[in-house]
Amino acid sequence: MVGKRRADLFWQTGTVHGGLLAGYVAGAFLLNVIVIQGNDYIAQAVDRVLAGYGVEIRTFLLPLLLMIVAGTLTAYGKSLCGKHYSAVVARDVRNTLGKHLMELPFCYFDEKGSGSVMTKLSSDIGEAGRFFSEILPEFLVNVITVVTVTVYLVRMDAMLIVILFASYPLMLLVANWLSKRLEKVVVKWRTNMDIRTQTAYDAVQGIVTGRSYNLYETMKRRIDGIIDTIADHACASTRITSMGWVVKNVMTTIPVTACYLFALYELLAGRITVGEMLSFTVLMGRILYPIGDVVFCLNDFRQAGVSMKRLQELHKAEAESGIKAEAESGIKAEAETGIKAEGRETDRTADAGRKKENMEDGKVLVWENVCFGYHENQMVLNGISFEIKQGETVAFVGGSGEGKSTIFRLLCGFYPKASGRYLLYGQDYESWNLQAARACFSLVSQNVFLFPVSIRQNVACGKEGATEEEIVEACKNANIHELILKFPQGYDTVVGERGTRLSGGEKQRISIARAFLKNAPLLLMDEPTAAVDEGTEKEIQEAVSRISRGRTVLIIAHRLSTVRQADCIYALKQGRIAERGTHQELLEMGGVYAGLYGKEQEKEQEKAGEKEAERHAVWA
Amino acid sequence: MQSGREVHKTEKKSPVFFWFMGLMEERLPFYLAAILISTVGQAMGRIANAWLVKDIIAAAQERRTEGLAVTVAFNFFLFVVSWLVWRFGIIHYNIEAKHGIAKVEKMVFAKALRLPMEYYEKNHSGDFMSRLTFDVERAGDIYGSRLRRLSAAVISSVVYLIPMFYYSYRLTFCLLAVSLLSFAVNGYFMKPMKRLGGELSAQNGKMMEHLTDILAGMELVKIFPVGKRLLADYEAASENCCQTEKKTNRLSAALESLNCLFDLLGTLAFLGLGIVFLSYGMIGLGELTAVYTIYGTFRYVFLDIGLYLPQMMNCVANAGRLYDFMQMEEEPERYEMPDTEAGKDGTYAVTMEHISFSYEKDREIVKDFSMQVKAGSCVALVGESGCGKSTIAKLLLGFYEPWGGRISICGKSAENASLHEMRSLISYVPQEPYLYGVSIAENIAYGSRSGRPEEVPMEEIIKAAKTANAHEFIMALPDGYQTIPGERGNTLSGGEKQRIAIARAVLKNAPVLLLDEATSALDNESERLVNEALDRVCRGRTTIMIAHRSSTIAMADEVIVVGS
Repeated sequence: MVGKRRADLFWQTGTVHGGLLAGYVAGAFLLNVIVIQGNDYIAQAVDRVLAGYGVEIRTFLLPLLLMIVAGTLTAYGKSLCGKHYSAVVARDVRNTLGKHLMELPFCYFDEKGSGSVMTKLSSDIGEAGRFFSEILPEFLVNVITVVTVTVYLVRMDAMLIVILFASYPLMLLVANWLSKRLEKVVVKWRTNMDIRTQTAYDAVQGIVTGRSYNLYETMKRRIDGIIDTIADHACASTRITSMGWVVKNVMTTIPVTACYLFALYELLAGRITVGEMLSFTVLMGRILYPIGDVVFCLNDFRQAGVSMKRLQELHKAEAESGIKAEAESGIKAEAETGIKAEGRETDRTADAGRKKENMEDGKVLVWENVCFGYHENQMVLNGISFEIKQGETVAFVGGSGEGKSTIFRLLCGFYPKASGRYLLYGQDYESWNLQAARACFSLVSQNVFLFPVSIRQNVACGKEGATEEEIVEACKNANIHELILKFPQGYDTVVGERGTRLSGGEKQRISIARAFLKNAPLLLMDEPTAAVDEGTEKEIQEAVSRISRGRTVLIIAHRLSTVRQADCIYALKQGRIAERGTHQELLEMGGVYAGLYGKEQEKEQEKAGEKEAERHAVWA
Repeated sequence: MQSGREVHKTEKKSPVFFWFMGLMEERLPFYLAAILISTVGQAMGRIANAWLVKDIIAAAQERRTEGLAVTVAFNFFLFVVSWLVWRFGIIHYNIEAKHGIAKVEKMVFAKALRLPMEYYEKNHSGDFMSRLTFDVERAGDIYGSRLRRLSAAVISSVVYLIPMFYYSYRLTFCLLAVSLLSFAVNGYFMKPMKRLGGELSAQNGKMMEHLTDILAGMELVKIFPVGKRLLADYEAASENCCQTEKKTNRLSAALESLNCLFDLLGTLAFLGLGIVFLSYGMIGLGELTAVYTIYGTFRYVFLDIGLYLPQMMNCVANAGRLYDFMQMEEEPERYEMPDTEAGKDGTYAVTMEHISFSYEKDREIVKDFSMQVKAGSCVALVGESGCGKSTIAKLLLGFYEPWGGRISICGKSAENASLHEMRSLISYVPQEPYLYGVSIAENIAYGSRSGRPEEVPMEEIIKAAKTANAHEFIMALPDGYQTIPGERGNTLSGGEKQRIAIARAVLKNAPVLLLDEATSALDNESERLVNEALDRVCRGRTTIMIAHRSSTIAMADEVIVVGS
């Protein structure tokens, strides 16, 4: 059921507000009637005048004025309905997709890139909106116009209609052929727009590197090439659509002219009057263009269809597996989120408590033979197994690219494992509601991401509805409170995008404060002291040991000295756990870890010697 | 930001429009000619149609069919010619328009890369993305449709008037007066439409900012309960957009209904005048019908002027946003700095004298900082977190203009070298390396000082990668050097990314090597490898290292402590 609902993004949003569309169509219909009646009315008057009768001005004008007023009001309502329709549909589609975006797995973004998502949510939504504001209503109105006028004309002379629509089948064939060609071009065009957005985003994000390597010309060439390709596709689509216009004109004008001649013939034969012919001419003028438009809006349909398909594609992209479970119990989840933070807290611990029943000997995390790779043919993890008990501190060490950070990503469910077993609180990870599972983890990652908002809001990320005291408390615990107060705007200081103006150590501690605030039972720390100097390291180390208290901690470390105290150390080698044990045990083993440790110690000694090296302070 | 100023600036409407049209440069005449040709072609077709109808009606009136075949044939010939002209015009017009839009896109993008560093730190990339997608697209509508529609309406109005005057100048004159009345009313809508256009554009920018936040902070969205807030922000922005659109809709609906009113009023006026003119025998029925046929179209196109003008203003508001963006100050070619004698003789590769700088007024980061680095030596900058080490590196790279003091690199200073030249003397490895969304090979080739990374031979790239100890892990990737690191670079570890960044610096082969804690993300083994590589690279070069770790400092000839 969920699948079906998701499949019809536009059908759903389109029908919810269908009333507006109906209003538009009804308005258009009414307007048409009014206009036809008006013209008919005038035609009769013309007839009378030509026949030498007089026209009583007052009785003539009153109904006409009524018609004018009704027409004006109808036009207003019609136009408003049509345009509002597009606006609300676009909004609903945006919101639906925005929500869906949150639930998409990482691999979607790895594959498509942000550029594609951005193009879809701006440009394609605009194009789809055009479908709802212009193409669809115009199509419907044209159909109605053609039908009503045709009915009217049939009453006059059925033969006219036969002549008028004689060329229709041919027109349909041509329009179909053209629009199919158009669609192909538009698909390419849109894909290139994705690339353009992606490239532009890439270049702006990498501006520091770009500047320092004088890459301006290179970047410009890169994007100019794409823009030129886009222009080429746009021109190609123009050639096709303009061909459509010409064909449309030829194919409508010929039968219409034939109709005029036929009407003349009828008149000469005395079957219709001059007034009727005049009225016929006027009506013919009214449907001259709609007739062609009804067929050739196929072009517009297909063109907007490309954008709509692209949005559908985003909408249909599979959500993370655990999220669906929640979607099914939607009401429950909503009620849950409605509860205040404390309520949720107890809820969560109760949840964890329930899970604990399934836990053997306090084993919080159990991995059995987990395998994973980002690319199909390249495994990063080749059968990792470990068991971590509640309250333990364990460390993962090993060379760069051995998969340490990947383990963390799998723990958080950013990527699904390829094979093996992963138990969280004794339950298969797959059976967890993903959000509940993630509520168990706090993550302090290597490259800290900060939102371009105030420091306060960045820390508040950790907990919904965090109070000021809680935020300050978390910052104090993370040893960053005093530093924040030193900023001119304190907690209101806005950090730039990605926090460019904060030093690595400052960002790291804000991220720890976030973790404090989240107060999750499991803490994942990816290299928390990498980017900091020794002085700051002590402060961070202090914060780290404070936050580790009473929690199960998993830590990735490059410098082994920082993890000597861990309850268990896992040394990774080629995606496997090569050794496990305490610091002492591993040293005695004399394997990978001992080797690494020995090298580090050597360097530390060297460093001690270097301390006497020449050193001068530049300012007092 | 500077929204207050922006609003003020975009008030001046005509300069923005002419500026925007001027962006077409040498293509502008062709573009305008194409509009003219297509419009004339289209109007000719319609007039031919009207003639045809007139002749047929006249034949009906007089009940005479002689010569009708000739007339029909002639009109048909006219149709075909005008269609051909029309199509020719419309294709060329569209091609010119699309190229014009491409030109604007290129210009906006180029501008986005030339702004001072401060812009990128203070403004949201979503803002720029919105300008590149939304504003360019909407402003591009001026080229793509609005201007043509408007000028087509104006031109055809004139074209239609000619035969109308020919058939009956008195009737036409009266009808024109009625139409002008409608035009005056429509004119009232221009200003509010433009204001709403500007509002919508700004709101779209906000929406884009929230969207980029969601995309860029996806990891946080998933693990912290921040997603709901971001989504709420996005939805609020989306709702704002919707509301502004609704306001615009109300205006344009009013416009449309007014036009409907004038449409029917026009018919009425025509009828009334027609009866009067007929009764006085000042016009024949054939002429009246012909005038009516043309007038039907004329009325539409004339009303279109009133309808399209406000719409055009809506787009001009977007062009106004682009205009403001283009008016923003760029990074200068060089900063105004006093000349320095130091470093001219070549003993010092890098000198910084009495440099002061701060991002904001009340928090001075760098205060009267001086250092002199001998050519060929290796210097480590150490100091507490937040003391300004990285800022010094950025000053050296010319990312910011120092408040005071002077800088020289290899004898070049602001006096005799541009920022571009100064930067070409430095190989920089930042703390958080950035990999572009191109292949690893190209990422490394971006280091090339030639400015043509695509021409860097593969051997050189491999050599650089080997020097940076990156070759082996790159070869282990399924696509080797052709691997494209994902946006989040998840497929590569921190250490691997760092080594690619170092390979890039190696390829650049600049006299000064600037390392901002280049080995922090590395484990001991890769650090050893990289340090070994750096040892190799540093030989014969001047190296400045920003160091947090003592092991890095170990390599330095000299240590400079930064801090108060």
